[in-house]
Parts: sequence; C-alpha cells; structure tokens
Amino acid sequence: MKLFQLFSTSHSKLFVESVDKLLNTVDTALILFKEGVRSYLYNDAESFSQTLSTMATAETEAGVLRRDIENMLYSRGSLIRYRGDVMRLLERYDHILSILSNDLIQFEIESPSVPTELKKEFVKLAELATMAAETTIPGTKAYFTHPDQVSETIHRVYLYDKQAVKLSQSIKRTVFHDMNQLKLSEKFHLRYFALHIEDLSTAAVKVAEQLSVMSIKRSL
Amino acid sequence: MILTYLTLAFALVATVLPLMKLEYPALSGVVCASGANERWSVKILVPILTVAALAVLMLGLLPAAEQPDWGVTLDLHAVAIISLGAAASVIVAAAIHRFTSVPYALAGALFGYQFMTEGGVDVSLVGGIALSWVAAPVLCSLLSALIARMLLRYATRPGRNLVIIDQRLLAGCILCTLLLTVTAAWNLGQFVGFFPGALLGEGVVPFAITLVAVGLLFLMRTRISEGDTDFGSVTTLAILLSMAVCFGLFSWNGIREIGLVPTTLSASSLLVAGLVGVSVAMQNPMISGEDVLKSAAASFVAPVLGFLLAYCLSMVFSTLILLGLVSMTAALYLYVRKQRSDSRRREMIRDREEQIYSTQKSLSALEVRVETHEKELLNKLDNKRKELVDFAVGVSEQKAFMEKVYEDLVKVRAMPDGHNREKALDDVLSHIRERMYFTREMNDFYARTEVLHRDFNMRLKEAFPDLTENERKLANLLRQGFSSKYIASLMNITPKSVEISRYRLRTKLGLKRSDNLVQYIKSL
Repeated sequence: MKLFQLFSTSHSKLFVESVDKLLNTVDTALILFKEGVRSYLYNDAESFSQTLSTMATAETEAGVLRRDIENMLYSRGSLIRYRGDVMRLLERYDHILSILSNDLIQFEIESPSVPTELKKEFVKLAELATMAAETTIPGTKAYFTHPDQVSETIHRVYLYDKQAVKLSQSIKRTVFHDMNQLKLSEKFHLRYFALHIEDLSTAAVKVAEQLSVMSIKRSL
Repeated sequence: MILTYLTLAFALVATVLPLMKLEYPALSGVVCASGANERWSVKILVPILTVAALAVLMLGLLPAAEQPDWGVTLDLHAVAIISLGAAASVIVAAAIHRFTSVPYALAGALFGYQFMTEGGVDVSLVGGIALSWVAAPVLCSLLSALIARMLLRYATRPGRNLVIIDQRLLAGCILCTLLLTVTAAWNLGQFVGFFPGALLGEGVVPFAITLVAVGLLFLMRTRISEGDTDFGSVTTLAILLSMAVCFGLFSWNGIREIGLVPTTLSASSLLVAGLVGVSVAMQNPMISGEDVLKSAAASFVAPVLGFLLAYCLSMVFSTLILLGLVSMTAALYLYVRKQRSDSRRREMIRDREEQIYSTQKSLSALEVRVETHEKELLNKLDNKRKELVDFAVGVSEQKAFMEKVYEDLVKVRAMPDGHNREKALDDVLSHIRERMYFTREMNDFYARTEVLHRDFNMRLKEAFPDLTENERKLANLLRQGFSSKYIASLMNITPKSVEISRYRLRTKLGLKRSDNLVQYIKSL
C-alpha cells in the first residue's frame, strides 16, 4: 500500500534526478547552439549539420524528461504547493530549447550571408545570450537546495541580457548605417537573425523572473 | 412514538448540522491545505477511521473517557430544550465569527437545563470544564509554535533538497491527518453521550439509524475553498499535530490529575489557537488579531447564551409546546424562504422584461437609423443618376453644337468673299464665344455649390448683407480652396480682376492687412 511508502524518498530522488538531467540537457543544448553558430559562421558545414542533429536529439530527450517530471508532480502528489511554479519554470526551459533548435534550423534553411566583419560580433552575441541562459541553471538548482543563493544568479542573468541587447543593437546599427554595400533585404535578414539570438537572452530573463518569484514564495 | 422520532430528529439536526457547518471546515481545511487529501489512501482511510471511532464509542466496545456526570435525565423534553438552546446560541455566536464553538454551546445549554431543573450546577465541574476550554487552545498554541519552530529549522537547513523536505512534510501531514481523524472523532463523538439513542431501542438498529442520519447531515457540510486555508506545509503540519494532540489529550482521563476535565473541544478554537502559535513562531501573521478576538468572543458567547436560553426555555415550555414552536418556526422559515425565492423570481422576470424592452427599443432605434441611412443612400443614388443624365445631355448638346458649327463653317467656306461671308463668320465666332462662357454650366455649378454650402451662404448673407452676387460667388470659390488663376477662368475674368475683387471683398468683410481672407471665410 502506498501509505506505507510514505517515508520512502526513492520517488523524490528520482524526481530530483530527472530535474537535474533536464537541466543538464539544457546546458548541453546551449553548448551545441554556440558550436552550431560558430560552425555556420566559419563555414564548417559538416560540424554544423552534426550539431543540428545532436540538438534535435537533445530537444526530444528534454521533452521526454519534462513529461516524466510533469507526471511525477501530478500523479505522486510531489511539491503540492510548488508544482505549478515548477511546471511553469520547466515550460520556460522548454521555450529556451525550442529557441535554440529553431535558430539553428533557421540558419540551415535561410543561410544568411553574414559579412566577415560581423562574424565575430555574431559569435559574441550567441555567447552572451547562451551565458544568460546558462546562468539560470545553477539558479534553478539553487532554488531546490539553497534558495538564498537564487538572487545572486538572477542578477548575473540580467547583466548578460543587457550586454546581449547592447551588442545586438550595435550589430543592427553597423548593418544599417555602415554597410551600404548590403541590399535592404540582406540588412533585414541580418537584423532578423540578431533578433532571434537576442530572443534567447530574453527567454533566460523570463526564467530568472520566474525563479525570483518562486524564491520569494519559498521564503514566505 | 412519532413525538420521539420528531424530537430525536430535531435534536440531531440542531446539534450535528452546526458541527458540519462550523466545526468540520476547521478540520477539513487544515487537511486540504496540507494536500494529504489528494492521496487515495487518505481519502479511504479518513472516513473508515471516523466511522470506526464513532462505532467504538457508540457501541461501547472500548471505554470512552469518563464523561462528567451532568446530573441530568436526558428525556425527550430535555433533549428538545437543550438542542434548541444550543442551536440558537450557535446561530448568534456564528454571527460574531464563523470560528465559533458548537460543543461549548451544547455544554452550556446542558448546564442551563440542569440549573433550571435541578436548582443548581456542580460548580467544580463547570469550573473544570471552563478551565479545560481555556487550557486546550493555550496548549494547542504553544505546541504549534514549538513544532513550527522545529520544522522551520529542519526545512530551512541549507543543502537539503526542497523535494525531499516537502515529501517528508507531506508524509508527516498524512500521518497527522489520520491521527487527527481518530482523536477528533473520539473527542467530538462524545456528543453521542448526549444523544438518547436508547429511546429508539437497543442494539445495532438505533446505531444504524443514527449513523445514516448523521451521514445525511454530513452531505450538508460546508466545503472549504482553497483561499481560506492557504498555509504552507510547515504551518499545516504544526497545526495538524497540535490539534491531534489536544483532541487526544482532552479525551484522556489522565488529565484529571492536573486539575483539568476531559471534555469535547472546539476544532475552530483549536485551529485559531494553532494559527496564533505558528504566527508567533514564524513571525508572520497567519490570522489577524481581529479574527482572534472575534473568535474568542464567539467561543465565550456560545456557552453563556446556550446556558441562558436553555434555562429560559426549560422554564417556559413543555416538550409538545416546544415541538409546536419548532415546527411553527420551521414552517415560518420555509414560508419566508419561499416568499423570498418567489420575489427573487419575480425580480428576475422583471429584469428580463426590462432587458427585452431595452433591446426592442434599441432595435427600433437601429431600424430608424437604417431607414434614414437607406434614404440618404437613395438620395445620393438619385443625385448620381441626375448627374449622369446631365452629363449625357451635355454630351449630346455639345455634339449638336459642334455639328452646327461644322455646318455653318462649311456654308461660310462655300460663300463668295464679301460682306455676307464676313457676317456669317462673325456669327459663327460669336456663337463659339458664347459657348466658351459656358454660362449654363457655370450657373449649374453655382447652384450645386449653393446647395452644398447652404449654411455657409446663409451665414454670409446674414453677416454681410451688402455683398454683391459676384462677391458671394468669389467667397464660395475661395472657401473651396480654388486659386486666383482658376477662379479667373471659372468667373471668366482676368486674374488681375480676381485680385481686385478679393481686395474689395476684404474691405467689405472688414479685414485688416494681417488677416488671412481664406481662413476667415472658412471660419465663418
């Protein structure tokens, strides 16, 4: 009878493991994204297509884990008071994963021609945006074990986001003001990709905001 | 026999219903807040444990806590008086605060009846019970504060995973829920002692009848909404455990050794006390001071009023009169309720009729608007048709004119040189010049402008009656934003003449050099 398994922590440990796995998958996907952008910009087609397929696998794996976690939350009555927040947080991570995957697919489909002088900037933008998203992972882990440390990581997410936005604006300014050799359609295309990468840091900020709310709720 | 059944039924309704409405939410609310009620094992075990505890008490399988000797013979008259007194006092106390104490009201009514019939009460017993009623919430408050403090230390220790902590707290809540179920059923079930089931007969049948009746009344319990008991796991566990301990302790004869008396407790007052304790421990108010004071006042009023009411009622009424009174009250209540529902229905019908009327009104307004709009459209269509006819007439006139000019010119060419030919040529030229003045078209144009700017022309005439016809025409054209050159061609004069006419118009309108003529005309 389930009542007699009341004090068994095996389910809870499984839940913790699943959350950790999901966060690790997100971490891997972020690294893959950085690699993918770099491969695309420096014309390493083979590595890019490999990254793309690994990213698809990571996304599928994360989806399965998310459903497992959802199942554990609702069927085993774990974290009754926090389950809504935890699910919202996982959905935000899911959003990050879909941004990562979609961006790489867009690179593959649309093949934007990035001028050589902007390649470094785009790589830097991708790094800053992924840094913002990466920083949320220790924050999420801290929420479960050291809630008082969540605010520190949140602060760093905002910082990286701000820098990513600044760099994205500078790229757009350069494209529209200094690159007269580009056609308007090419300029729009580059702006569109800068915006897409910037979206990643915005999604990271949303995770940070959710974490902030959750840590406040935990302290009540 | 009917009188017996009626009296017992009334007693059940008057005592169990307030319990379901006022005491039950205090217990179920905390359980719901803990989330323990989501487990199937809890959903099944709680009713089983409750029924088992009540059965054990009612069938006397285990000795219950030794109840105080009330010194009252619970015949039908006593049951009716005490039930009515308790129910009435609970209604009044609940008006002060929803967290009132039903068992205290019942005990108060019992003492009131005893005081009237026996001529006095056992003061030491009353004192002991009153002391228990005060001691129980105090103990509950202290216990909950202590437990909350310990749990808080456990839950906030860094490095422990929230999932594990929450799971353990939930497990604790489930165990405490089961413990609370047993102890609360044991404690509150001692109401059974008051209910004279023996009047129904001996054995399992009266027990089953009573249980079914209680089950039916259970369906009328007040359900808890989530917002009412939005407490954390630590708070819930602390309250559950402290309430369970208090219920258990005050059902145990051992507490007599410290001068207290085992008695039925109020779940509501224990909940309030538990919340106070947790608030102090967590330094975070879970309940307002006003609520605590009102609840305390309600818990004080319930037994006192119960005492007074039972005393007065037992002085005045016999069982039959009392039942008659209760029946009349019930009938009156049902009548008033029916009247209210009728008037509510009538109001609803009236509201609906008003709604229909206003809808019809707006519909007819809409119809009028549609008709007006249709008329406007028809007028526009008519105008357009007229314009088209005019245009066709104009075209045919122009054609006829051109044919006539052509024929005249052919004739002129055929004429020999001389005076007649010169005259014929002059005639043709003058015809053409006349046509160039296009007087008819201009008149038509002015007529149309007149129609379109009827208001403006009226205002102009009223304000400046000494304006000539040509000046009014000029004002009209200026108002429409035509340039001097265009006006010149329209009025068939030179641009210089237009400038002179403008100057005259400015003078007649009394404008200064700095004023803009066109703007002034437009502002009229």
